Amino acid sequence: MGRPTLVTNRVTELRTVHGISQGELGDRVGVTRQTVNAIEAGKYSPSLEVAFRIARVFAVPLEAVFQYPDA
Amino acid sequence: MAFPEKSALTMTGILLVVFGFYFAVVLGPVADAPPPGRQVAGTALMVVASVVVTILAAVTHIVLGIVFHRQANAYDERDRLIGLRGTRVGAYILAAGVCAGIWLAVIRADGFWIAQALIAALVVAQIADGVTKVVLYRRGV
Repeated sequence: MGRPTLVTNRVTELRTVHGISQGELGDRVGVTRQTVNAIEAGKYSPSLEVAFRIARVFAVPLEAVFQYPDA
Repeated sequence: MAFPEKSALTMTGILLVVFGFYFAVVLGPVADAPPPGRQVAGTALMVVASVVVTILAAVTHIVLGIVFHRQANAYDERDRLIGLRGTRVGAYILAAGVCAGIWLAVIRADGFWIAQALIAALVVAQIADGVTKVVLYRRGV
C-alpha cells in the first residue's frame, strides 16, 4: 500500500529541539498522543487548523513544519 | 493504540465469536429442523446472541475504560475521520445485505431465510466497520 499522504513534516525534529513530548504537543494542539505519532509517521495529514496550531507551538511558519512536494 | 481502535478490535472480536457460533448453529442443526421448530429455535438463538453481545460489549468496554482511563474520553479529528470511513464501509455492506433480503422477500423465500440474511447483513456490516477502522489506524488515513 502507498503512503496515505504526500505531506511530509518536521514535527519530530522540532519537537525534539523544543523538548516537548508527543503527549504534551497533542494536549497543546487538541489531538491525542497517538495522532501526533501518526502525523510524525506520515500516516495522517492533520487539518489546516491543527497544522497551524502545531506551527504556533514551535513558533515557526507553517511551511517550516509541513512540506508538500512539487508536482 | 488509540482507544477507538481498541474498541473496534474488541467489538469485531466479540461479533466474530458470538455470531460465528450463532450462524454455525442456525445454518446447521436449526436450518435442518422443520419450519415451526426452526423459527422458534432461530428466534431464541438470535435473542441469546444479541444479549451475549450486549453484555460482552458492556463488560469489555468498562474494563477498557478503567484500564485505559486516560485515553477513554480522548476523541480527536483523526478518530472522527476514521470513524466516518468505517461507518461508510459498513453502510455499503448493510445496504447490499438489505437488498438481498428484499430480493428474498420478492421471490417469497421462507421468512427464516429472510431474517438470517438481514441478521448476516447487520453483523457483516459491523465487522467490516471495525476491520476498516483497524486497518486505517494501522495503515494511515
